Amino acid sequence: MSDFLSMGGYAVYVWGSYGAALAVFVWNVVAPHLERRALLQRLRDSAAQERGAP
Amino acid sequence: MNLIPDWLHRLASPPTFYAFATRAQPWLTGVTLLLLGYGLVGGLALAPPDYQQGEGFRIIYVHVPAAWMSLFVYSVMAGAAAVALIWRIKLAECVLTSCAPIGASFTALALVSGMLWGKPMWGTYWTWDARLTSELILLFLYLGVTGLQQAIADPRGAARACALLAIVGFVNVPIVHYSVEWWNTLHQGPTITKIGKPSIAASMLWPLLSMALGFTTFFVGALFQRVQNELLWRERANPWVKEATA
Repeated sequence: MSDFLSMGGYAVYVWGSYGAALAVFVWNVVAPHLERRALLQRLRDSAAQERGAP
Repeated sequence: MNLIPDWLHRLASPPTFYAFATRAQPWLTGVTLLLLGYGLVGGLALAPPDYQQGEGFRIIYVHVPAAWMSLFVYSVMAGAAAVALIWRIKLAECVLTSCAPIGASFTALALVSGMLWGKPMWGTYWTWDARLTSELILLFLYLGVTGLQQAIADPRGAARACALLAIVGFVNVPIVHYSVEWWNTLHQGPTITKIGKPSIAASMLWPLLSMALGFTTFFVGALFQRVQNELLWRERANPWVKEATA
């Protein structure tokens, strides 16, 4: 297991790259998700406004 | 014009595409996880260490798929740009603008993982050779498309400007690809995307192809999410939006 983590001495470079990949994947999932939430809220707010809600 | 099949024609309609993207999402997620799962196990554990680079070569399973995606996404973006410019199809405009941030992130990943690979193997994080420089320019092009979209208020006008930038910038894609053949570069030459058998071992190649495919299915899923967001906003006055978001 420690061999696996040390990656033959290249740990920083290998795990750094995989970490960067994880960050990119997470961002590509989270960012549009947050945008969708904000969008749906805006649509709901403007629909309420149209109905003349206080 | 009978070149466009009926189902493709229907898919260009915003509510049809929106529903299709929603249905496709769980499949895309499942396939992505399977492909990346095998790619990671194969690449990190099953593939033997390289005779020169040892375990350090495993960066390839992030760097190469990211680099391929940076070019593939740009090609999709440029294709959508051409469709948007010629036929003014709204969905194409949404695909164009949605590709940019995703493509930028893959390009940045290719550059960062490349730097982390270069430091131990070449002794430097960076050099201004043809491959690295043209890939950096690709990143600037992606950021330019996004910046342009945010700078222009009218969505159709913005899409038009972005489409022109995307198409003009497309010349960079073959430059990035052929840079290692056309110029003397520190970056290694092609070992997979060349004429003839790939010069990489099969046990190393299969996880790489799986990662590349997994990155691709992930891109499609992320693209669909962003396109759906664009459609919801641009079509917000349309009744189908209320139904879709009920």
